[in-house]
Amino acid sequence: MSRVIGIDLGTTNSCVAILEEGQPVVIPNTGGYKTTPSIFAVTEEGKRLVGHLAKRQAVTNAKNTVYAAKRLIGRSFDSPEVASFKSLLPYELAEGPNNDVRVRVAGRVYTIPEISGIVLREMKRVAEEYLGDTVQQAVITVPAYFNDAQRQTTRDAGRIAGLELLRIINEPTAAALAYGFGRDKTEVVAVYDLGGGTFDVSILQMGKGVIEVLATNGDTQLGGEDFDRRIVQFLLSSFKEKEGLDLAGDTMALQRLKDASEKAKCDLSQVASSEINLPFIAADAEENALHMSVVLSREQLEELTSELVERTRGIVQRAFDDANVSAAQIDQVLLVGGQTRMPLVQRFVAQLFGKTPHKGVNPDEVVAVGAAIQAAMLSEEKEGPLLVDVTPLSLGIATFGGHFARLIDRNTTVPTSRQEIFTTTRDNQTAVKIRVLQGESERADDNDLLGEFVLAGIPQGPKGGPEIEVTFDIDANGIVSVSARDLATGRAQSIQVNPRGTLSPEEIERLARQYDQGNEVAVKG
Amino acid sequence: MSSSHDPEAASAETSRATVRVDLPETFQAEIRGLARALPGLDYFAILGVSRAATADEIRDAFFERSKTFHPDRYFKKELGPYAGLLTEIYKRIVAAHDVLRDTKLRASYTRTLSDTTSSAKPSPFATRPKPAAKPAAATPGARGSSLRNRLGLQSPGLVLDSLQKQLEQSRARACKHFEAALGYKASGDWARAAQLVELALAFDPREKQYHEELAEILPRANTDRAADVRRKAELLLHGDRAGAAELLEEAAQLMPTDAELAHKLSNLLLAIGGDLAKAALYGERAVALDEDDLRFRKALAAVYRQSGEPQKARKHLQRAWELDPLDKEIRLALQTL
Repeated sequence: MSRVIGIDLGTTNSCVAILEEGQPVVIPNTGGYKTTPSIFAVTEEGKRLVGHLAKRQAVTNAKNTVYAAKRLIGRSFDSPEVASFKSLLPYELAEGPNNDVRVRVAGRVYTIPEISGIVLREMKRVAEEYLGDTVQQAVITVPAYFNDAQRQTTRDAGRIAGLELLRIINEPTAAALAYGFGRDKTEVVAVYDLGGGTFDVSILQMGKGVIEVLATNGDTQLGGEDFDRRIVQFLLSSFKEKEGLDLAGDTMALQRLKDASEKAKCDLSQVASSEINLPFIAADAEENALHMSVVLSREQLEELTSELVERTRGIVQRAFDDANVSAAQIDQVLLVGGQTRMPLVQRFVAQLFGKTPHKGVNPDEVVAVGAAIQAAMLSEEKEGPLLVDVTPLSLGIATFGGHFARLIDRNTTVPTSRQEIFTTTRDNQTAVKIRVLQGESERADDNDLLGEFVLAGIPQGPKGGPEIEVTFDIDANGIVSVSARDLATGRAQSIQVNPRGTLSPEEIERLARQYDQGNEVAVKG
Repeated sequence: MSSSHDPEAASAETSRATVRVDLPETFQAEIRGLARALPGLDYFAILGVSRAATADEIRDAFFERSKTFHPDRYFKKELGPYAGLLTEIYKRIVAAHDVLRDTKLRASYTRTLSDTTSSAKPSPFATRPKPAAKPAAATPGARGSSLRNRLGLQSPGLVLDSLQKQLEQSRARACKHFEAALGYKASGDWARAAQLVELALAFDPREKQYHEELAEILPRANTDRAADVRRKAELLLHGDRAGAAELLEEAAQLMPTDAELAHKLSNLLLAIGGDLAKAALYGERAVALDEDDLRFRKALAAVYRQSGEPQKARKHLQRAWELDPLDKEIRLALQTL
């Protein structure tokens, strides 16, 4: 029987792990690294690169190097998130036929699930090389606050990579699984997960071989990339002040600034100041070479980014409220995601939770390890830790006046079902449209539409008379079904909400086959 | 619930032995027994705790139940008809935990339980930690409860509980909408206010205050709306006259006591060759509202002449003539009739 792997598909880096004889193992790639950059590139010669190779050539080939694709997953081309992100990208975005975002690399347009699929396929290959066997199934992690469209697109990416996803689990939950593995203590754990592109916080109750998610919250547009961007912007403005030249339009310069910023940021977690030296960054009007040399201190960095860290406070507070716990009741705080290495973040967390964060987990690997544990738990005859999960976002329907009627609150334990009675708003109304929405806004239009259907054949009568029972049902796999029944006639209508990615099953199949044939993707660790 | 969630159907299907089920016989029997007994069990019985259980005991009991009944435990197994049953059982375990973990919900739930309910009955859950060590005994009165089962896997007590919760939720919603309505009312947005009070009434149709407020707001909202619609209708009068008629009709429905409006609509319908029955209806309304306005009488008579009802036309013309014996037009019309 082929093995099931756990993959942490990150914004900046990805990681793959497996349970070997009951012990989690993080699988190194051929270069010996335990994480692989989530980067895809096409060289001038038309060669496709993934991971470290793609990262190494990013500066000289910025236009054809795609990074941080996860920030675009499941988003529409005209969304504000994409608009704000676009201006800072060296690579080119294109609009897909369903208003989805795509990227143009070396003259070819790729969908986002394709790009993520290529990265996942690389992780699959790393595992296969290590195991000496093919791998067909995986558990993949996503930010806890991903919505259905984002999760579905991730699922599509898995299929394109030739992987059947047994389950998609949330990153902080995976981290908690890894932390709780082999530990039989009853305690409340908080996970503070500040990754490359997203922030999540989860509060979990552990004990007796069960891990129960009490609450989860997050921001899918806040992560290490934003810290880098703050530094880039600082460098751009100080260069402009000094040389009178704006580098914002120069793709190659931007890519160099981005790399240097990320490096300086990482250095500053260890040392008090870091020098950013970028010779020949530009040329002035007389074609004289201009160089950049800036010393950035940890203090300056903290000043530039403290607002970003501060933004997590309210999100953590909401998670406390939903879990019905206070900071004092948290027994352990886990730090996950590379950005939590920053001393400022660690101080902030210590202050916010009133205790020093746990030091025992590797923030880059712990999520993949948790995915591997869940993979083993689902696929093997083991009494592994059982995960009792919640639904991250509220679900409901649109009602009269554009209001959102919530049937299932966020952070409700799944599986679950909820019912509520609705009625008509016009006299002699014989049909109602049930629009299934996901989100936290009181206004229906601000939430995401998951699907809709019509219940017809309601007998004529005054408004407010008919009783229509709407039932929401979420199974353990997170699949949502909704039904509506007219209590007077028993007439009913239902749908299974299959959040559709932007690719059809046929397209996914075709892409999977194409990449299966494999020779066009040249990757070596 | 679909029939696949029915325990009787489940055992029937398995007994046909066409479906492979990767669960020990004893556990299968326990699941069937539980699904059957579930409707009669209160939340304490479902978690297997006493009514005096502490929060920790409830959590531990939930975790123990989860380890046995969470569908993920059997992820790779063929469960056949048991998949649905297991999910239903686990959903009830989750529901029980959701209520009992919350101090307030637990208190109000406990109050709804009558003292005679199930706690005296032997628990249909097999004794743990040896999973499924003994088959669950079929509970007495299984026939009756299995019937309820088909009706939705909920005992009357629990239905009551959830209805009560729903009712509270609905009331809270209604109240929220109502408060918003008052805000709009204060700012003079009658239409918005009326819409929201109606919404509040949809959630809580019995609240007297809402009805009273609606009685006050609705006429003003209708006046506003009618004025708006009428303005639009006037704009259309020289172009899309059928459209104008539709708008006027809407206005007339909003303002049923406006005689001029009814008259205007009736006239317009006649002029554009619209629905004569409707023209007559609104003409009659105008006349009924103001019996002594001869314009209304004349117009209505014209409608009846057009619709081939000379008797009625004559009646109104005669009345008009009485109102103004000197009107030549009326006399002429009477003569031609």
